Amino acid sequence: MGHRKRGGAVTLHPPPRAVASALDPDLLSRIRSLNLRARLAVEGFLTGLHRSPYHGFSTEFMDHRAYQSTDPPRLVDWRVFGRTDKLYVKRYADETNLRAYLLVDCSASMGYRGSGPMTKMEYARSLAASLALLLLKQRDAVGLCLFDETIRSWVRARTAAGHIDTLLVELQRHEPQGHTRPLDVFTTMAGRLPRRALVVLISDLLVPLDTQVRALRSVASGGHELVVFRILDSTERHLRFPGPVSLRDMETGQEVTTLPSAVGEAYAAAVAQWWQVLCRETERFRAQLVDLDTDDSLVNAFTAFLSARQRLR
Amino acid sequence: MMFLAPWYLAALAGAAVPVIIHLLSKRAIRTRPFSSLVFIEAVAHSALRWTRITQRRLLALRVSLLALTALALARPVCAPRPPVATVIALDASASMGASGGRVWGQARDTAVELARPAPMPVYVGLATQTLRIMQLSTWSEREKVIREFVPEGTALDMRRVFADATGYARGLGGKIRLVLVSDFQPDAWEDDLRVPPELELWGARVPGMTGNLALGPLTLAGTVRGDGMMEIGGGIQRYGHTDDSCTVTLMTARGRIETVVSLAGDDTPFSFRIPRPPEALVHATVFIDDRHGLVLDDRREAARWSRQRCRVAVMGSEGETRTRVKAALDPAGDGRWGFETDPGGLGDSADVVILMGATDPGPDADRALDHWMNGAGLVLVADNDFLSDEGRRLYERTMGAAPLSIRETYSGSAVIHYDHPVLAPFRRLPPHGFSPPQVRRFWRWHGEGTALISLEDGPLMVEPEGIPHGRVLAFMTGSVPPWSDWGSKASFVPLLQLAVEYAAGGLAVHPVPFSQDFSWRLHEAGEVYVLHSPDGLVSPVTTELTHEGIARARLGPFVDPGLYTLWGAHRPVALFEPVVSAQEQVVGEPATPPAVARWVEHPGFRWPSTRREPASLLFMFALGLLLGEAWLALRITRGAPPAASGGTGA
Repeated sequence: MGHRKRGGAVTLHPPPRAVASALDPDLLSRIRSLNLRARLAVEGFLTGLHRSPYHGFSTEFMDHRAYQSTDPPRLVDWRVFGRTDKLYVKRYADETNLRAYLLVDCSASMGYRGSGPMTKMEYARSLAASLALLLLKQRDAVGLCLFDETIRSWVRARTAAGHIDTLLVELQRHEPQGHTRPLDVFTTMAGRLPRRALVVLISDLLVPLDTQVRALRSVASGGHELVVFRILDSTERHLRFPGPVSLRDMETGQEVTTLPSAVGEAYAAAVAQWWQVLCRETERFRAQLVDLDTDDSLVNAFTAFLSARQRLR
Repeated sequence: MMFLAPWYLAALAGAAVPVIIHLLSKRAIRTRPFSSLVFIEAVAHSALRWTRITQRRLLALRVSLLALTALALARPVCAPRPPVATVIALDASASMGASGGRVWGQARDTAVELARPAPMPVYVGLATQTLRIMQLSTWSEREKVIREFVPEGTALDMRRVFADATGYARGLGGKIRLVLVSDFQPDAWEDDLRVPPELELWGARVPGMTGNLALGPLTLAGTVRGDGMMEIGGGIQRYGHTDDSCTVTLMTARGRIETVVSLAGDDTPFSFRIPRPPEALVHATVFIDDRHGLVLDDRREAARWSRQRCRVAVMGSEGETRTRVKAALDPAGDGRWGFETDPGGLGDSADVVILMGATDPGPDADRALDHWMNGAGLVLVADNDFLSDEGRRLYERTMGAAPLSIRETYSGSAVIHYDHPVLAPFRRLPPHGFSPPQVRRFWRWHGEGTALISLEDGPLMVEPEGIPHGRVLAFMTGSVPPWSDWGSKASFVPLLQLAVEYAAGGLAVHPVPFSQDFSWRLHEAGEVYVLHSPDGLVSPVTTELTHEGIARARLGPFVDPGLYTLWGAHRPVALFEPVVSAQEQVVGEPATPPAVARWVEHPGFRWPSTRREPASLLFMFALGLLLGEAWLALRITRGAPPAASGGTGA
């Protein structure tokens, strides 16, 4: 169950144990096939979903109707009951006209492997593939955009059953490289988006804050719904390295020698503060932000995604 | 700085260990890829700089800690190398014995006071013309030795003292601290006096004489008395001198005459009685307390007196010759020489006897010897007959027992053989001929048969003390000119006058300018030898002969040792300058020589500690460094202070 905490950030709750074990990144990382990995994640997630409060996630809420005895009680809208003391059931409209675009950052920084079982790129691929599969199961049109400093791959949103293969091929075809320039990319991409769409950004967001905010605003200003997944390795949050270390920027090649034990605390504070400011800034255009670790279960991502989708409605 | 345990200094190499570790660890830093430095650049630069600075501080602390520990273990001594010994020297000069021993007693008390707590080893000694020291071990020995010291009555020669002390310092293998207990009379401290580097001179001043004595101008105070005695006198001026008496010494041709003068008032007269007046009248030197002297060289007065008073008896030979000699010496016939050609006319009071024809034995010769025995000067004038046995016997009688061997003639002149004691300085020369350098040179100047020999030393005029023998001068002529012609010889008369003056106790050689003209006259006069010998003090005449002939051969019998030193240094010194004034002889205020590095203020003097060992201080400092190191290390471990707001903000 997710709820809003600050701004557009989504707080993650631990998934059920069975689901979590099935979507454990450590386990998923051992599966080389992205297709199989995505299906395992989605199926595992959907398996545990019958006990979750997210039934009917694939449909758009349309209106309420009076409760009938044949209706399962889980469809009762208890909020309405709480306000009106009457039983109503939500009615959902089919979402086949939803167009979702997955924006996956494949810059060089995404190739970072820290203490997690997979790189951020691998995690992003898994997440993107899983979300694509999940959305396609709902017969939503899913598009894909791989970008670094430019758009490296663009797949238009489709609902065809075999479209997942196209998406998976594209996801696996590109290795992380290059710089991240989200502002340019998103400006370009905004022109390609046909109409109101759900834009899911999967990135480590390692760019200056103002640049990042402007980039997201450029997406949101097109009337698109925006869900942002920030994927970081835990070492990127706390800079936990033994002894002095010389860190080389994977994108710029710049090196800095530092003593993590000495600067780790300040670094972590800076990272956290950056995230907080980003959440506050993006709240204005209703972007939903999800913070993930590469060792987080994909359930967290799915749950956050659904939670974000709910808030966007 | 020195170290008592210098082998621990090898541990200083350990201070390099942190540096090595630091360098190695710096080299061992791994480079690893990182996604982005966007956050590190924002926060880590200041922290990194802090970390670097802190680490360098930590490195410096560790290096300092190890170095300080090594230094502390080596036991450094801050003070400069301490003197290897302390020498407490008492100035034992005459001034320290003044004031009835009061000054000396105070000096000894000061020395005892200083020696009691003096750092070992301690030497005590006396400083006068030299420095003689002895090492003392026990305190009782120190005091006993110091109490037995007595002043020596001589002047303080600091140059010699420094030289001796330097020798001791070299013998001891280090620098010595010389503590001089003195009244610091200024005459011992010349401006250019420098302390050798082997010494560290300290001064302990004792109140010395508050004044001094000075001689007033000497005067020929007396006249010849009826007994043939003469008085010479002067005055002693007193300048705060606290003693009631002083010793006044008169040096004459006969030797020293000392008298103790009781000082009364500021100006005390004194006088001496001289048995043979001419000697004292020409030259005399007076000293007070063996320190300051005045030289009387009142030549004008002496000449006046000698012309009026000197009684010359001419004996021997024919009466005509005596008359001619008298006429030659006293052409005016005014009797200023007091001539008496009658041997009996002057009785025993003749000052000079000229014995003509000294080779002729007879009553004149005997009477001349009697006069000589009574102190009269004797001028022997002879021709070549002097070479006869009789003449030689007579000469030997006046010369004492020393044989005079004259064996041959050379161009009609006598050649004095070298085995005579008078000619002792020439004994190493070849046995024949005029080998002495000065003679040879003279010989070259004046041709064959002419020589003027001035002998340095010999028993000739060294008279037994108490026997008033007069001087002897042998005046020998060639035989060519007849006696009757002597008075007409231009050079004979002045030479004879010189001989008379000398025999009367005057100048050894009168400062007659030696010129070619004069040498010609000598040559004209025939082969004349003047044998004279000063009376045993010093004789720089020979030196003068080689340079300026006899012109500067002014040798008086009373040569100030100081002046003699100057002679030895070949400095042209006129022995008989005008009488110095009394004021210049006054001892001035006590000197404060800059050579003294430190003045000992007593009582209450404390010897400084010779060494300071800051090892414990270093250990404390090292402990402080250790605490600082621990604190810094902990800070680094716990991390840098939180950075300011992140630089990645919008």
